[in-house]
Amino acid sequence: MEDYEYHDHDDFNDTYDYDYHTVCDKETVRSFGSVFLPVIYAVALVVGLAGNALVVVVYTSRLRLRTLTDMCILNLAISDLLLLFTLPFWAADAVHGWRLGSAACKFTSFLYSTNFSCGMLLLACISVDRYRAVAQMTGGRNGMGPQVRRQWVLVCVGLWAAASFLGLPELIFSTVKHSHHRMACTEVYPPSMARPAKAALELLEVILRFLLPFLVMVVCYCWVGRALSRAAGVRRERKWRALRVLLAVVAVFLLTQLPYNVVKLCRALDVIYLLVTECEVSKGLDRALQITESLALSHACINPLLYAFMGSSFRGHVLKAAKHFGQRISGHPRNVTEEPAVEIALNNRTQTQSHSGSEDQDTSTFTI
Amino acid sequence: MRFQVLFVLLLFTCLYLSVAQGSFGNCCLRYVKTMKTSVKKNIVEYRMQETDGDCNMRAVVFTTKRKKAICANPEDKWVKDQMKIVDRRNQRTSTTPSTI
Repeated sequence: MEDYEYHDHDDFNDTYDYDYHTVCDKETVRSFGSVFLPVIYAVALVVGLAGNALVVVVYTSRLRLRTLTDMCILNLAISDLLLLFTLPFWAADAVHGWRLGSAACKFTSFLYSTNFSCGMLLLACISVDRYRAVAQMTGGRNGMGPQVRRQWVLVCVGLWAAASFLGLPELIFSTVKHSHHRMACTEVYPPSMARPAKAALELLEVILRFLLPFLVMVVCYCWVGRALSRAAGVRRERKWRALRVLLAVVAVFLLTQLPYNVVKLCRALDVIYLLVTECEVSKGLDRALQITESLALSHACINPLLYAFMGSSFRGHVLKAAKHFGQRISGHPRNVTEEPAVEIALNNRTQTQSHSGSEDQDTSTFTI
Repeated sequence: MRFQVLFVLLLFTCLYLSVAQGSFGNCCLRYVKTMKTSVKKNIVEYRMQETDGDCNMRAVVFTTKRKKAICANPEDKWVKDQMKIVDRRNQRTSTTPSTI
C-alpha cells in the first residue's frame, strides 16, 4: 500500500490507495516526443532525402534497369522518399497536435503505413531475386525480353498492392480526435471490434513487415552465400566483400526492425491479455515504441547505402554515368577486375558440370 | 572504410529520430474494487473510457472535487449505482447554479 500525500486530504482520510488506480498520465511520454524532435529530425530527413533522391536520379537516368533487383532498388528509394515525406507531418503532430484536418490525417497515415510495408516487402523481393540470380543460371535473367520486364513490373505492382492493402486500415480508421487539450491524428476503431482489431492489426504487421521478409531474406541469402563461397573463378577478397554486404544487409535489417517488432508484439499481447497494469510499465512501453519505431524508420535512410551505394557500381555511375553504360556486363569473370564494385559474374556450370559451351548463357552477372 | 564510418554515423543520427506515430493517451490500467462513502460524496462527474483509441480496457473514470481521477469497472454494481447518483446530482445542479 502506498499512501503518498493523501493523509491531509479531506477526501481521503484513510490510507486507501486511490492513486494506484488513477488514470495513467502520459504527458511525459508525449513531451518526450515533442521536445528533441524538430532539430534531430531535420538532420535525419535531409540524410534520408539526399540518399534516396540520388538513387532515384541515377536509376532513372540509366537507359534500362538490368535486373529485377535494380527495379526493386528504384522502387525502394521511391517508397522510402514517400515514407520520409510523411515525417514532417508526424513531427508537427508531436509538437503541437494535428492541424491539417481529417483527410490529410487519413492520407498521411495511409502513406506512412503503405510505404513502411512496401519497403520491407521490397527488401524480401531483392533477396529472392539475388537468390534467383544464383540458382537459375540460364536464360531469363540475362535475356532482356519485354515479357521479362513485364514480369518485373507485375512483381512490383503486386508488392505495392500488398503494401496498400496493409495501409488500408489506417486509411479507414485514422481520424483527428481531440485529446489532452489538442488535436491528434490517430486511429479510432469501432468500439464493438476495437480490441480484436487492434491486436490483429499489430500481429499482422509484425508478420508481414518483419517475420515474412526476415525469413525470406535469411533463407535466400544463405543460399546466395553458399553459392558465393563455392563459386569458381572469383577472387577470394571479392567473395568475402560480397558476403560482407549480404551480412550487413541482414544484420541492419535485424538491428533496426527486431526491437520495434518486439515492442509491437508486447503491445499486441497487452491489448489481448491486459498485461500492463502499472503506469510506469505502460509509459516505458510507449517510450520504447517511440524509440524503436524511430530506429525502424532509420532503415529508410540506410537503404540507399546498403543496397545502392555499397554494392553494384553505383559510385562509378554517379561519377561517370554516361561512360559506363553498356560496358558493365562482362561475360568473362576475370575481366571485371578493374571495377571496384561488388559485382560478380558467377560461372556455375564450371563447378557443377564443367561444361563450357556458350559463355553468355552459363554466366550470370550477380549484383549485390 | 569511409563508407563504414558514414554508415555508423547515419545509424546514430537516425537513431534519435523520434517520430513515432500515436497519440499516447491517458488511460486507466486497473480498477478500484470498492470506494469509501466519503470519497463517493466528493465525486463531481464521470466519463467512460472506451477501447476504440489508445486504451485497452473499458472503464468509468470518476473525477473528485480535487480533480483526482479514479478508475472503476463499469460492470460492477456499485459503479453503476454511483453513475446514476452522479447523473441525478448533476441534473439537479444544472437547474440551479452550481457551487462546484
